[in-house]
Amino acid sequence: MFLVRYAYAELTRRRARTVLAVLALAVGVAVVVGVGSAARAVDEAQREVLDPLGTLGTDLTLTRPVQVGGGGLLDLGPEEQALLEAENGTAAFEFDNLGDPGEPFERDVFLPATQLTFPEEEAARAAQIDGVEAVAAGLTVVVLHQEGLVPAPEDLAEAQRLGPAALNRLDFTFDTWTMAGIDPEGGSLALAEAGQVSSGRFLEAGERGAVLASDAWAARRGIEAGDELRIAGREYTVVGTVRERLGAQAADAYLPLAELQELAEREGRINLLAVRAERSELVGDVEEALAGLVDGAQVGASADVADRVSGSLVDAADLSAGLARVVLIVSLIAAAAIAVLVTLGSVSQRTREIGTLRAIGWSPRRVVGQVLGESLVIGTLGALVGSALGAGAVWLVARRGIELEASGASAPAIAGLESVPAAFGIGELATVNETISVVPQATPELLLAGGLLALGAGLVAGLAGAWRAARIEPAEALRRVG
Amino acid sequence: MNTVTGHVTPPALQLGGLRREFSDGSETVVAVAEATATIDAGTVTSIIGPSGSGKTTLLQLLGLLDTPTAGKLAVLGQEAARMSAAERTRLRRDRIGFVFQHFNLVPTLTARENVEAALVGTGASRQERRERSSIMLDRVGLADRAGHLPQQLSGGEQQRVAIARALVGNPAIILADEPTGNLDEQTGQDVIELLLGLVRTSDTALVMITHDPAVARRADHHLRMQAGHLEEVLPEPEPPAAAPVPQPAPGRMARIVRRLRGGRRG
Ligand SMILES: Nc1ncnc2c1ncn2[C@@H]1O[C@H](COP(=O)(O)OP(=O)(O)O)[C@@H](O)[C@H]1O
Ligand SMILES: [Mg+2]
Repeated sequence: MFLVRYAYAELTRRRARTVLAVLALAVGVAVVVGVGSAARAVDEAQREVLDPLGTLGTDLTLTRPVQVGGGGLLDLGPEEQALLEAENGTAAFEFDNLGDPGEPFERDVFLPATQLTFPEEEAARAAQIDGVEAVAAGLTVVVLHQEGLVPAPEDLAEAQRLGPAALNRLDFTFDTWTMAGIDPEGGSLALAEAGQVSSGRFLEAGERGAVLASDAWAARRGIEAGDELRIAGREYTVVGTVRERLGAQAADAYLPLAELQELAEREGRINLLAVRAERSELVGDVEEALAGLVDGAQVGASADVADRVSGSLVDAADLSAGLARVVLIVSLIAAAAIAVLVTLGSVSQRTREIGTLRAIGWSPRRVVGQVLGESLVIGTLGALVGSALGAGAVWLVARRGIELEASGASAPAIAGLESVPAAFGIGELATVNETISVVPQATPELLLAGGLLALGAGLVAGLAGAWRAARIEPAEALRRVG
Repeated sequence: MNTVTGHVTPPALQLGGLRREFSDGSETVVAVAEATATIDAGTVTSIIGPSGSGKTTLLQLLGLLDTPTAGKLAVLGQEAARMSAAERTRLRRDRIGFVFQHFNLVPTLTARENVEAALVGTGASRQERRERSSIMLDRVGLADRAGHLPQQLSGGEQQRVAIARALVGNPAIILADEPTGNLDEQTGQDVIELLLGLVRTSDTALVMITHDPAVARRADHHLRMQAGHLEEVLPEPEPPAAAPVPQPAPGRMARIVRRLRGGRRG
């Protein structure tokens, strides 16, 4: 075809112009490929960090928070009512039966959590709900360790009148930590799982006398795997330590559920039920059914853990959502604008040439086709060069790797702990840092998208040029000199 | 077409009271005020006249590149006013050739591609286009220059490529606007000899605008533009010293081509 030979001649013999237009489009494509693959990589890394198992959309938790405004809101049977009252008593501040004032003492009190307990059987019932894939029951408590001399009743009364800070003036020390009873076979639904072990080993089902310590707590207490630990008068071996899960709920120490229930005298009681729906579409139905299971239940999705995470990874993800789009649009517009200007300049410089071709019998359609064809070749070259450029740049970055950090407090296993007085030492939550290597990849879809955008820009440029070429009047064009 | 049916060949061009005005809102320029003439097939016509008298405008009207403000024009017996834009384009492609003062070759195309451009859209195959272009380049003495770009050719050579382009489609009419205007005298004369030789061996009508009396004298008919008015004139008398110029014969054509080949930088 003559068009092809003419286009080839035009593009190769006016090389500077061709190179300028091709490069403009190529840079546009490269930006699309580069920014696109970086954004994808960051999104993927973020998903990996926040939701390594891809269960964020299907996991629910059932708890029973203390209702502000009194127990009257709960429509409970007398037995359940009595149980909860006993559980939430003020045993921690009763020193009467410890011995005479001034005598040394040591004890562990399992404090009421702000999440009330409910019967363990609810876990089995939850498992029967349609659309539920798995459930894991848990019990979380605050352990208050007291050690020192038994206070005199009048000193105690004085201290209690002055407020929590005055408790420090008494001659004994507090130590508090959170403890979770977990199903060792609960997998990622449980508050801790085998994958988190950082030293030693994980708990085994049915095992007794074994405890797991969180890394943060172990560091704070100077504990390591293999150490012995006394809890409520019983001897435990720290079989391992676990690292916190980013943004997930965490406790300081973990026991098998049955053992904690026994130790804390809460047999048959749990206060956390993690439920996984079969599919994310079923979450709504499951949520509704769960809420009806326990009086005063609060059912929440675990998706909100993403909100508790920050760091350069999250910044990058936010950036990829916002700025990336702006960069893409701006660079594409700039690339297309340059291509349009180059094409218009070319047509205007070739006015007399086009007039001559019209004079010797070229139809306006043929002239338009010629200009469009040349622009499409430029668009194609821009797409190819840009894809290569973008893929090359991405490859270089991927080879060096980008390290981004995600950090977030692992959430307290006991909601509302933040309100516990600082004197209790609770509320110091472990900050979890995770460094992840982001590896951008120029996927075929991205290369295709970039290529199509370059072709589109070439087409726009061609249409602009063709529009101008079609309006050239041969009589007038031929009067031009030069 | 004429002899078999007994019809008379229609004139190449018939102009009746042709007028072309340009107006830019406030001012109106009458470029061609009155042009009436008949140009027969196969004849050579020269148009002389001062600069700005409307010669180029007239030629563009004849070449269907422009439309008259008033008057009648028939090209090869066809009423121009009744033609569609597509018909005008087709007629230009198949029946009319143009030669310009500034050669107007496509700078990025080779000599042969420039000639071939005139055959694009005629239905001729690529092979046929190339062959005809090569033959035509050979006839203007540029067979060995087919692959050259215009910038690699002298002015005389470029104009010969343009002549090949104008003639390759076997047109009935060639319109030339000062074809020697950008050439030195000798090269100009040689180019004119070549052009005349080619149109006289075909049955092509040639209308050429020129400033050169020696070129004008070679025509069969002599027209003059004067302030937009076209009139027939007698040829200027030859300078007394000059020898009579013979009509080109086949042997003479070969000599011209040889001379053109020798003096490329003309
Ligand atoms: N497109 C146009 N608009 C306005 N005036 C024009 C246009 N084309 C030609 N003219 C005017 O018409 C007159 C004749 O021009 P032209 O045909 O080029 O003369 P010539 O070729 O004899 O030198 C000139 O005065 C010129 O300025
Ligand atoms: Mg002129």
